[in-house]
Parts: sequence; C-alpha cells; structure tokens
Amino acid sequence: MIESDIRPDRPWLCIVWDDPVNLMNYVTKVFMMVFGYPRHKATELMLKVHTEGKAVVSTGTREEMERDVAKLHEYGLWATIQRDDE
Amino acid sequence: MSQSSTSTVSGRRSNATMSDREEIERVRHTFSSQERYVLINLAEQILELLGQSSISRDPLHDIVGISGNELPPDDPVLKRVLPSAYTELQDAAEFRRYTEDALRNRKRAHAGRIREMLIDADGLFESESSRGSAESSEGIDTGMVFVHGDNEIQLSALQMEIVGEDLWAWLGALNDMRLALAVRLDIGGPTMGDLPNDSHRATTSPRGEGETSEDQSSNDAYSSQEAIQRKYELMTESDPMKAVYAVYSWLGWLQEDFLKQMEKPE
Repeated sequence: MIESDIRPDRPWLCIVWDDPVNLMNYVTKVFMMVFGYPRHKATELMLKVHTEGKAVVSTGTREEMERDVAKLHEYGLWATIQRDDE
Repeated sequence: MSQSSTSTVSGRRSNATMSDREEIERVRHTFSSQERYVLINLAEQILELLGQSSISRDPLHDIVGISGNELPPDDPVLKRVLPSAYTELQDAAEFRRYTEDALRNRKRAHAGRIREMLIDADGLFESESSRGSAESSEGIDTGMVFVHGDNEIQLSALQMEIVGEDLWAWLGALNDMRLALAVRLDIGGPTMGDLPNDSHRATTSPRGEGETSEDQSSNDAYSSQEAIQRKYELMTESDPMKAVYAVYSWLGWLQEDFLKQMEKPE
C-alpha cells in the first residue's frame, strides 16, 4: 500500500492491474502525467503493479476516482475503482 | 507488463534517486514510407473499431452524450480497449453508460491525429533527401502509394517532430494499436481484460487451454511472454501472424524510443 496516500476519510481507491502488453516505461510515464507524481513515485507504483499484479495508484472521492480511471483508460491502462473496505 | 529489451529495472531505479528532471515533451523520428503506410492503416483500423457501436443508437443519447452501452463489448479487442471501471457489474454498467462514448471519442481523436499528421504532413518537415526518394537504413526509400478514398497519396520518408499534446495522442494511439494486436496475437491469453472475479466470462471462453485467469503470477506471465516470442520467431515467413507480430514488436520499440527521448536531459 502507498502509506502516505491512504486516508480513512477518503474511501475510494483507483487500482491498476498488470497486463502483459503495456511497457513498463509507458506505465510509469502515464502515472506521472495523470497524477503528477514524480518519477521515483511513479516508478515504485509501476513496479508494484508489475510484481504484485495490481496496485492502488490513487485514493479519494468516488468522483475523483472516476476521473482518474477515465484518464487511465484513455491511455490504455487497465484500471478499476473500488471502495476501500479494508 | 512488458519489459522491453532496452530497459532494465535496475537502471531505472538508479535514475529515480536523482532529482526528477523536467520531462521533455518533444520527440523526433524519421518514418520510412512503409512505416507511414503501416501506421496510417493501423490508425484507420482503430478509428473504425471505435466507431462501431454494439447496439442500435438512440439519437437522443448522442445529444446528451450517453452511449446506452451497459455491457462490456463482446469483441475481445474492444473489451480490452474499453475496459470496465468497476468489478461490480451494476456499477460497471452505469459508469459505462455515461462514459463509454467520451472514451471512444478521445481514443478516436488520438488515432485521428496521428493519421492526420502522417497523411497531411501537418507539422512535419521533410528531410532534404526525402523528396521522391530517401536514404534509409535499408537503402533507397522509393516511397509508397496510399489509397485514400478516390485519392492516391504518395508517401515518402518523413522526419517528424512531435511536441506537446500531440505526443500524448501518439503515445495513447500507439498503445491502443499494441493492445489491439496483442489480443489478436493471443498475447496475455484469452482472458486478458477479465478481472479476477469476472469468472462468467473466463469460464465461457472458447479457448480454455493453456492459461487460466486465476491470479496468474507475474513470473508465469513473463515466461509465457517469452514463449509467445519464441512461437512467433519459429513461424515460417509465410505465416501472416508472423508479420502481425513483427508490427506489434516494432510498435513497442517505437513507443519505447519516444519514452526514452522524453526522459533524456537536453
């Protein structure tokens, strides 16, 4: 989990799933562009997706997550939204 | 995820410890006439694919921007290019109903932009040697004729500079092309795009052999990727899928080249 980002009052998660097509460098670059993450953070998230099969890439309101997912889908990443149940 | 042969994880990690440089939003590439031809064709296929609607349209929906689509597309390529946003079916259906049209239009805009740049040479400058014929790594590029409606367009080699918003249109469209070809090449197995709990689709997949959708570890995915590469390398030259795989590999190389140029300091 990306410790600093998960806050109890922000109950929705945007999750990116691993797939065998998207290039690692591309996924990093998309995270930087969509979320404004610095390269080191975007790279960490990309590696988490790659090694663990998925990663939470952003958290917030449902509306915010829907905007994020739409952007990730626009650039071909495989992303979903879910409530933070844990 | 696919790891290109030219990048290593260790290399990137050491870069990450350096201060983050300003990213470069400009790339250059010289396209041969054949590369232009292939990319224009692929862009037109993406435009056509995303222009199809799986259900009959209500004109009112067009006016308010609602697609009416609630179910994921049946076409496996569309299913991957327009994935579900929720694992829960009802939420996925509602989100799709209100957003799928916009997503299709944005992706069509990306593909349309690269098609336009490659055909119209808008924002392009031809290299001095490229009029009529151009030097390329394979010798003289004698050009290719692209049939566009009633017109024939003479394509020659082009040196192109891609900047700003156009660059993301290119990256996105190249990625959609790769996703579409990967589905056709069966890269990622028959269930790519299915979520782990999307079992109603995985179990009804016509091609059940080989991989399963059950939480395949990335190691398995990676080794199957190598197996796929071997499979296509061993194909005879006459097998049309070998050519498709060559285009898929080249698109990945091109996308990686763009990303490398964007990383490099001035």
